[in-house]
Amino acid sequence: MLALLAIVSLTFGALSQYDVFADDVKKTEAKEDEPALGQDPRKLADGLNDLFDQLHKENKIKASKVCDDDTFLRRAYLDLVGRPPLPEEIEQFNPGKSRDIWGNKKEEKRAAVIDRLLESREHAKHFASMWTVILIGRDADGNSKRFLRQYLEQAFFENKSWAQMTYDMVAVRGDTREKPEVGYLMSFQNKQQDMAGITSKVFLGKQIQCAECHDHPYEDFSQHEFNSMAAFFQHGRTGARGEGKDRYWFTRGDKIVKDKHDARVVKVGREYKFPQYIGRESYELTVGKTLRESLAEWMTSPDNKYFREMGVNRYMAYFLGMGFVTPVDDFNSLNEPSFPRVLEVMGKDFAASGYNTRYLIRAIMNSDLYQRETDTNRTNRDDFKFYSRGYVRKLTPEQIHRSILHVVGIERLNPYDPIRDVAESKMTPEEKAAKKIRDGVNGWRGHIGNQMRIAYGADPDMRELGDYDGTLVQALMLLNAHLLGPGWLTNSIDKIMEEHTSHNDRVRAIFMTVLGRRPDKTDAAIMGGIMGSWAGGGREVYEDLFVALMNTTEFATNH
Amino acid sequence: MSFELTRRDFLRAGAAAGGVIATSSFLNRDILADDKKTVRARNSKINHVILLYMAGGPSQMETFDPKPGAKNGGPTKAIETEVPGFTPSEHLPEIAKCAGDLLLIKSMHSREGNHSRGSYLLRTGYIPNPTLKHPSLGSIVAQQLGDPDFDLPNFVKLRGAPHPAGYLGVENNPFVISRPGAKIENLDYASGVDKDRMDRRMKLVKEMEKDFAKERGDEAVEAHKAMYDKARRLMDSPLRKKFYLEDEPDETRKEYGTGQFADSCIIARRLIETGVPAVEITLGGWDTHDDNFTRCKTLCTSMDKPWAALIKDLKKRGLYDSTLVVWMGEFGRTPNINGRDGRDHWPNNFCTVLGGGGVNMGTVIGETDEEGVNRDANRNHTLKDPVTPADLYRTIGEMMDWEMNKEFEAGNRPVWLVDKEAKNIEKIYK
Repeated sequence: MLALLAIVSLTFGALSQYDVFADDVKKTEAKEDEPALGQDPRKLADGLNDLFDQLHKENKIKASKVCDDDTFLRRAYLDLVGRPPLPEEIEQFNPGKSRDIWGNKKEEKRAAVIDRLLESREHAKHFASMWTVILIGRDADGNSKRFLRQYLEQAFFENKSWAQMTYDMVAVRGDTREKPEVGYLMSFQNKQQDMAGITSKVFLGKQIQCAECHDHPYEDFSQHEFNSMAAFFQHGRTGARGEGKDRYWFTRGDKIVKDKHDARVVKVGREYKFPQYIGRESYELTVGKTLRESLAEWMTSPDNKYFREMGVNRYMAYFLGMGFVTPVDDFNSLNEPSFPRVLEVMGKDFAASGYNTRYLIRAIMNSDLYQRETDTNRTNRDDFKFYSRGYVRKLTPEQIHRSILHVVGIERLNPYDPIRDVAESKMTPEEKAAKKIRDGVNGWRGHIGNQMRIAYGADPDMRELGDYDGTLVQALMLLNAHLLGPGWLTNSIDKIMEEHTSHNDRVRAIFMTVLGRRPDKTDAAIMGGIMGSWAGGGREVYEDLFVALMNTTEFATNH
Repeated sequence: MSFELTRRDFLRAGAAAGGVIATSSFLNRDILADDKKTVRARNSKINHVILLYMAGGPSQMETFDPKPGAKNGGPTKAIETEVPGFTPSEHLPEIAKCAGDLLLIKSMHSREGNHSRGSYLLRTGYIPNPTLKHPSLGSIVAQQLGDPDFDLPNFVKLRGAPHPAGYLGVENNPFVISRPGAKIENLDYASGVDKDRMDRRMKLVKEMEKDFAKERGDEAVEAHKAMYDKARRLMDSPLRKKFYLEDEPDETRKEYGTGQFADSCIIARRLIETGVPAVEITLGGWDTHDDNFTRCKTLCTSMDKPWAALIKDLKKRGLYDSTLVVWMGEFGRTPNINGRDGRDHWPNNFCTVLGGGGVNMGTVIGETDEEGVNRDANRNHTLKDPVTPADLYRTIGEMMDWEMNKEFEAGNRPVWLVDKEAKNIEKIYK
């Protein structure tokens, strides 16, 4: 960090468009006439590459190499769709070879995978479950989670702008039949302090809730400011109507602001407060809108530095294992970003892209920062700052869950086909057969879901604290739970035994299925050495290999 | 190379950064040295805690503060005991005999009348804060007293929703047994797998781990290995029979009675005796908005005999002096009876009972008037001798000599095991 200050003049070739980065080094004021940003993610990626290459040089760090195709593919799949690639997906990518099956050349293959995955329904599903945890936690009530996930999945699938999504969730008026984003508000069970605390933490990176009970220990938030923020949620109430399938949840009590100082003074905790934005001296509301709409408008405006930078930092931390600010959502004066100017420029870039999440993700994933090996050398082993190496990242419970479902072969059985809603006696033989499979798969899926609840049900906030891994119960589950389904449904081992006859092909297929990569020479040596001594030689041997691989660090991490 | 980073920065960047596994060997040694906890000498003879958690909010007027004859007293009669003020419900006859082995607080007080918020408060001593997860009593005890190399988990929870250890780390999470006495999920080898097959699987895992760690450093696989070592140790440990009741003599069954709560109490005693520092038992069903009197009678009956037997058993084995037994729920219930013969949520005054190591037993703290309300005789709105959940935690912390002045870290925020502003209620202990 100190070494950075020593750099006074640098010229970055490909950075011409992004030469504002240089200011981070020079510590000068930003130029007024910044180039058009937010258009081509490749340019931002190149800018990041050049900047950090230079920083590595200055700091005498030898960066790890860019990883090989197998490693990249698995990493990208786990990050974007929450599971390793299937064997056929690895073949399609044609790792190590010049073209994938779609004809993309070597230098385009990786960008093409990123694009394809980002546009998939599966990615939307994965991000929806990930964001549901970030927004309302694993222990929120089932209905809130269901509606919020439904909203998020569609929004990510349509690549709705992050500003719009934020506005939708924070400002929502209506009911869950039309607006499933009500799920966000309803999860707080009308507790306005919690709405304010989570909203400001997740979207703005400002952890003001410590001030709920006392003034913030080392930040300049007072109880007064926290309550002023909470006052925006004075009408953030939800209610429910109807029974069973027809039950829906609605927002209520919203009032339209008549003039810009027309906020009712409300009681928050033990104080009476006006709504007031964080860091502002005075309050001013938007006429013709509700209080939450005013707040959401302020939050998502391109001028809101907190919002821009929180968005960037979230995805830097998610994809690189480390953001500019750590913990990811705790921006405060004692926790300055590692590279404030880079963050600032990227934030403006993100805003200029129209808060296009896919733009930001493409830029990060196409950069060398994302694609480096986790193997380290003496010079970069302790680098927790300059992105000179990849980090071994623990999978979240959601990623482990999705990985198990794919690896054991449940997803392959496709149980989603609708079946006519009639009594079984009236079904055709084909329908009966389909129903039997669907019921079997649902039972199998339910069993795995249950195992996940046993292993993780406990930890709603694990992700934020980064310590969800390491549970004894997870190890016991992966070691001993019966995850391979009822014997009459074809699981992955059955499939592999059927499709491949030679030992080497079977081992290769198991590696690709469980670890999402082809075995390399070392693996072959290990397998030769150990499996050679295994008695039997039948299905048992392959089952043992399959289960053993599921119990490795490699399976449980992204690396 | 020097980044001028402090150890705290490293911890932040590594351990707290969205699940990155720290790979600096210097760092790991440092953490280990810093967190070596088995050696800390405590100035307390309490080595175990058993929490009897009454989920739903037990009615104080149908358990430890009945008001027979009062307008809202309902049909519940009280039993007079050797201890003045300790007059439990007629449905707690065995516990009544243990009056001298218990301390009753009638003036527990909080503002949280919602189940999830109330249980969070009573379980942790803090009001819920969605940006921070506080550890529960059992996790604190596991972290303060537990031996990381012990075969069994340091905190076993018998039934009930698990509450994570939060900033104290997953190794202090509760090990939850959802059906006490029944076979524990995933503790045995899967069908068709014997020790030989498990060994060969693990041998392969070991080789793969070695390869994985070669370039990335051993630290990349260390946490994983520690977790699997612990899992296998538990699977193969002779101590795991302590989770089950098969080898318990019939005599015990007679003393404790039957039912899940009785089973849990026996298992708790077995675990404590083996060296587990913290056990929590949940008894649910106390949310008696309707049919309060019948339901409370059933619940009292199901806990009376086992709890009393647990006290006697611990005393007989010389363990009551070193074990703190706490009985609590998330709040009490309204002195008023509602239209459905029920009582609603009432956090204003409710009961908690303590017994065992260090407790000033045979004492009652706080009192309520003839209507079952705790108020000062002269000034209607002032509570008499109020004890908040935070006060209770501070007091237990004092009794057990927890590291209450130590600054723990949640993310990068300083946190303390108990609320620094809470009172130590000295009357509670000797």
